[in-house]
Amino acid sequence: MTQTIAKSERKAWAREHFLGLENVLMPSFSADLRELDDDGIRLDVRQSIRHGFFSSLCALETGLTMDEKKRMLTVACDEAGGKIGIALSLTGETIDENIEILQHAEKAGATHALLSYPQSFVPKTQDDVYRFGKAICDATNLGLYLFISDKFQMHHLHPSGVPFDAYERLADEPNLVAMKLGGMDLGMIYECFERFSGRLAVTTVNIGLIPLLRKQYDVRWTGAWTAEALQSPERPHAVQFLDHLLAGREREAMAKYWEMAPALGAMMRIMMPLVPTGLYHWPLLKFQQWLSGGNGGMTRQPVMRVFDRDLMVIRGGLRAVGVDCKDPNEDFFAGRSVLARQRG
Amino acid sequence: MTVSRQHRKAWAREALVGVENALLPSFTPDLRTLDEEGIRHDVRQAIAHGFFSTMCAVETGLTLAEAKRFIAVACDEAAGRILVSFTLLNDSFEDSLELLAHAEKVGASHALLGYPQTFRPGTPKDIVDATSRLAEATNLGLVMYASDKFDFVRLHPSQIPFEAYDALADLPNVVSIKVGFGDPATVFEAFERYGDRVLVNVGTPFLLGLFPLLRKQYGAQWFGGGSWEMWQSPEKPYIVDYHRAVMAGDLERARDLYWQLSRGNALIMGSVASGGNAGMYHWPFGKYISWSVGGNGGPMREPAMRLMTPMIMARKAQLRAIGITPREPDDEFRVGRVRYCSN
Repeated sequence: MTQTIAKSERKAWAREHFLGLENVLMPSFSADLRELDDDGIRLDVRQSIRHGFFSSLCALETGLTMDEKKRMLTVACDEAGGKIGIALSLTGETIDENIEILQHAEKAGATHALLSYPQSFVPKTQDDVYRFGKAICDATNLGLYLFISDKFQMHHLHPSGVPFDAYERLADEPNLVAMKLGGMDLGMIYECFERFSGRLAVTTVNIGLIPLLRKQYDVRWTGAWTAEALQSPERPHAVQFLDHLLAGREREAMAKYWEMAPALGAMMRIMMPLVPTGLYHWPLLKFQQWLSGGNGGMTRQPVMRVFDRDLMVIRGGLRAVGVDCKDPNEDFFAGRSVLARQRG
Repeated sequence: MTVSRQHRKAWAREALVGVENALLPSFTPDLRTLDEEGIRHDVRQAIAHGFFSTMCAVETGLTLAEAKRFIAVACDEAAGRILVSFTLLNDSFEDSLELLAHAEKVGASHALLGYPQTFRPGTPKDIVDATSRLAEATNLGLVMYASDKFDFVRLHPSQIPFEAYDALADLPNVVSIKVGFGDPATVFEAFERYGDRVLVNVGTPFLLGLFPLLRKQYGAQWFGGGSWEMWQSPEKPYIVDYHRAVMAGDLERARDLYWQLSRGNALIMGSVASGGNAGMYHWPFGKYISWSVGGNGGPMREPAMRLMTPMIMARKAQLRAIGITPREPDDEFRVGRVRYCSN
């Protein structure tokens, strides 16, 4: 699908490709969590296609060895078969690891990668950030997108946490194509759109802000996040919301937004308190996907625990928007693919 | 004020420009009576901060007579130097009607619409009827209030009963809407639906960073009643300057000010929000915020949330982070500045 796109063509490619919603693909494991479960991963790729997402981001920071990260990407790209883009998070512990996984991803057929920073990366200047990003850009032909997140702790470089000077320079790199705003400060979001929306496909994870932003900026996508929290393949609320907006059907879009609002509220209630941890609750995110047919199953240690009270809120939110999973919560913990094998 | 009901919309476009703070009552140390000197001090402080209006919060444990006195004292001290508004968050519509009549006589200019706890409308029409009754009884400007306090989520998931507010926006003296939600889709709906009829304001600090965009797209021009002293002092009026910079189109200066005033946000935003989520405010913390940049301070009546030491520490750290030296000593806050000086 994309292996042959030259670096110089990446910005034009992104304008066509970043259209709609990008979800997150998390690994599935065998019952003892020792092995990747290829069938479970494949099931989730097919689910992402059924949901109507344009791309699926492989979350590789989920307790995988380097070999497993590569395997997950290979399996995901193979199952995607060009029907959906496959991205990856660059969350290696070192820049060398990131470059190694990028080279593999390019060969396997991934489309783009989310630029992140290792825990040990503590830039003293914006120049340090620029050099890090430039090295990644130079190492791949894949599209890259910048990730604005408080977890990278760059507030010493700018009070917003965004190293604007470094990103102004990186935005001109031919394969730096987009920007994901993971933070919620509206001043930060406004300034990023003002500065970068002409050059990059900028978006926010704050889906309710997109109607307003579209009045001034050409926002065409949102991701990467588990949009399954708001919909099912049969009731693709979030996908339809964005479809309406992009087609200029604002009233229809807002009607759809308020229709899915109960599920959005439930998601925020569970997930927002976890944001300051700088880590994601992988099992609960997988539970959101499982409720509409995703594979589910637990992820490896270190892992946040699953509480029944949280499952009730998430299930209740989706039920309120017409996504009513009939399977009992107990089935979630092993995952659909493992259970299918166990039950023959 | 001599502005008639029919002219309030035009009046608002000229008058409601800038930042409005919340004026909390001051009490004697035994909390038995209003402390008029303290209230007057805080009105002068609001003027010193550069606010264009100060909103008397009457839902702070006052009798109706005290609420009237509070507004009268504020208007007297203001003497035309600053607008005085007030909240209609009373126990009954009858109290609100009485307060409106009194406020008009003593010189207040506008009021924030609210609904009693006992008001459980079954339909949007119930809201229209109840609000129209208030509107028709006064010449004051009225500000609709989009807030979760009223539990209108039963009528629309946004928590704004659009059908009702669509009708209310056409009333001649309904001049504005305060958007008390940080949810951007709700903000979008409010501006799209009402922006051409009433002034939609920035009603919560969570929207502050979006003001340049809201100004450009919809002509937003004022920040509704709130503890904006959180981010400024009379000597360093960041919020007021930020507002002015955006209004003047100096967006570079606006950005600089925004990032300056945001430097301590991680320290305080959680503790402030915690009261709001419960449908009432943390009045003692509100008073502390104001006192720590020169306000009167002093205790608030029960039922009151408690001011905890970590909140005080966070407030001081946040002020220092934005280049403002917090006022000392805290003992002065406990009784109120004007009383502390006189003892």
